[in-house]
Amino acid sequence: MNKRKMSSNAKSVGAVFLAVLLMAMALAGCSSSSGSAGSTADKGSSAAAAAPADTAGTEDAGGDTIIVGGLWQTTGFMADYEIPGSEGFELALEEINAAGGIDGKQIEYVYYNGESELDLNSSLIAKLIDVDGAKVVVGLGDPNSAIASGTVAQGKGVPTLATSSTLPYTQDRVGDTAFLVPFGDNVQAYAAAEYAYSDLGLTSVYVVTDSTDEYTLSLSKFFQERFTAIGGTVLGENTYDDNGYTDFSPSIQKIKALDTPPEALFFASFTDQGPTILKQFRDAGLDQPVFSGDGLDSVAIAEIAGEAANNTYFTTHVDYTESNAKVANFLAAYTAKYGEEPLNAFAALGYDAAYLIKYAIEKNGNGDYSAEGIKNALGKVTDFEGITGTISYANGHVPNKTVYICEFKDGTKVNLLSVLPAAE
Amino acid sequence: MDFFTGSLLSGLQLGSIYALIAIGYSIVYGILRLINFAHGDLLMVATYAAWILIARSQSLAFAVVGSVAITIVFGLVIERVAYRPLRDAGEETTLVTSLAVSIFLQNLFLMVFTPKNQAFLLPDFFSQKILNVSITNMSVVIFVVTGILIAVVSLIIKKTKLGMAMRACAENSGAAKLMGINLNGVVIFAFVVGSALAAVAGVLYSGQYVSFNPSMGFMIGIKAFAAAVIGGIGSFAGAAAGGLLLGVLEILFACYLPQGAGVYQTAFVFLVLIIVLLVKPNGLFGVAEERRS
Repeated sequence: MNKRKMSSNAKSVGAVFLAVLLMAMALAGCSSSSGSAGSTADKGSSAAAAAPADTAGTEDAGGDTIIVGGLWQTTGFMADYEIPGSEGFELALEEINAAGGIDGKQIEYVYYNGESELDLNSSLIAKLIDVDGAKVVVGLGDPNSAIASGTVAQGKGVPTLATSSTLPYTQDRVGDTAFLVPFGDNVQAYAAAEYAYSDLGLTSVYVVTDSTDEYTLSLSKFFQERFTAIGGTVLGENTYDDNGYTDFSPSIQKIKALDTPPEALFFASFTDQGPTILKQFRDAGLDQPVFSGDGLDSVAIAEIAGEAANNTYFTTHVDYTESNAKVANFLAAYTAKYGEEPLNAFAALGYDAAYLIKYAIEKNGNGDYSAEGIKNALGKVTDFEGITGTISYANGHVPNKTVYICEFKDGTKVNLLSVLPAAE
Repeated sequence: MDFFTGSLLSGLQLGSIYALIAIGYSIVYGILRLINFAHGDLLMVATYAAWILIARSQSLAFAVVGSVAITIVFGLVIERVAYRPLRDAGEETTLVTSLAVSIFLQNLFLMVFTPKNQAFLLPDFFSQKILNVSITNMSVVIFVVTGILIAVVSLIIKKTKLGMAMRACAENSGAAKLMGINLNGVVIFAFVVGSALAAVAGVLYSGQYVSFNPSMGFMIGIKAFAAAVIGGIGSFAGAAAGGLLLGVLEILFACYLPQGAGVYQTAFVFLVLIIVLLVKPNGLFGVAEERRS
């Protein structure tokens, strides 16, 4: 046998192997999905005709529009949040345009799919601002993406409204153009910790954390911080790498090896892993109450995990069963447009984002429709009444809003109570 | 059950699934020198097929058989359309083609089924625990099915004429052709076996881990490919051993690395695999051979 040839074969397989390793790292957790752009401009021509009398006294607003950008992650791991979010946002834009727009100006809407990928988000937001001329951008995905694209927007002075990212220190990382529509992770994790310890009387917890996203890391950190501060004990934490891992037995084995079993479990992950974790916990005989954040808000989880989802509590942004005219109107309009009830609270956050822009510009804009003007108008927002609670940006760009605590019960989502966190 | 036994069993369970997929990579590579990256996506195809059939027919057995059949059809169509016309092109060409097929399959399923996570629900029987320890019936099913399939495929390769033809083609396809072996027939058979194993692996994987989406196959495919390389790509026994080794290493590293380092389990796993390859460049069971041009 020819020795030199032999080693060249070994090398070539080795080289392919290394190339694949690199590729696996680069593509880890990604979903290579189809065409990234879906751009429509909502011209609302019929809407403008619907209210011609309103513009009679003022200057003609016919050719004048405000360009709003959407950067949604409608494929990839954020799709479960961002599809409802984008649908809620679009619904609100249609309503606003039909009712005469903002200050009589129609909204022109341009949107792209960021595919839950960092690099794509950074370039798409630049395109939205530089090519399409967006004056404010909504959506942005998980904190990792929101910080990446938000930083680009900050450099161009264009405000962003994140509807899914709940990272409380977004403004510190990005700058004064970054606004959050939802509450921060500190607020929701504190509420969950207090509910577990004070309301349910659970004194010890084991924590499982996805270490690949800012959201899961901060959610887990704030939960542990609060749970310990009010007297509970954190028996341990296991972090895992979300990329391609669906086997949670390391966490389960570690929990089972504890001298005293924890009274409660907490995990920080996204919806795609929720059912998998819950089922494996229950299959392994871990029947403790499980807690998590808004990442778990999806009726699909209860349906997928079935009985395994029972005794699971999570925090979220809205209660669709609340007897509140605004919520009821939203639900009716959403169901009429999309044929089913929203999957989760993120539809409501998207809906609120659109009305928040209108409220800010009309109340604080002083007729300045530039990106700078919209940013300043948003910064002055106080007491905007949305369907997900009241938003004020006076004390920072992360609103301190009502937290809703929910439970999964026999395949459905049940709202338990709402907590209005104390003002900081 | 203590910490070590529990971790080891979990590792073997995950490893069994990797092994089933790795075998598919390995036998196709053995005959065609083709690294078929679309193989991982067949797992996803099988899951969707089984999911639809369970919902339609309410019969698990029918769904599994139907899913295997559908996956075999996908495997054969891919072979016929994407790989056979390139049979004489270089390994690099077919490698890139297989990546293209993988991306095509994922996007096709994204378009048809949306990126939404779906539930793969098996009857409660599978979640029941055995003898009050934390092994579910599903784990037992995974071990038993994997064991039987490996034994059956191994018998086919060792004892039947078709198996002998496969081994002959793997050794030297040119010479095998000259001896009157129908290469196309052997390739088709390899794709049938590989696709069927991937289909079973897909059903087992989704049954165990519940939720699935169109991109599920990619990472698993990459890992099974790594397993096949470690075992010695082209070797049947090597693929099975490599899969088990990879699964066990993954879980044990995650269990035993100190707090904080557990996140880097993947890095540690692949570090070990690189060391294995440095010591045995052809993999654990691989046979050194001349590269065919």
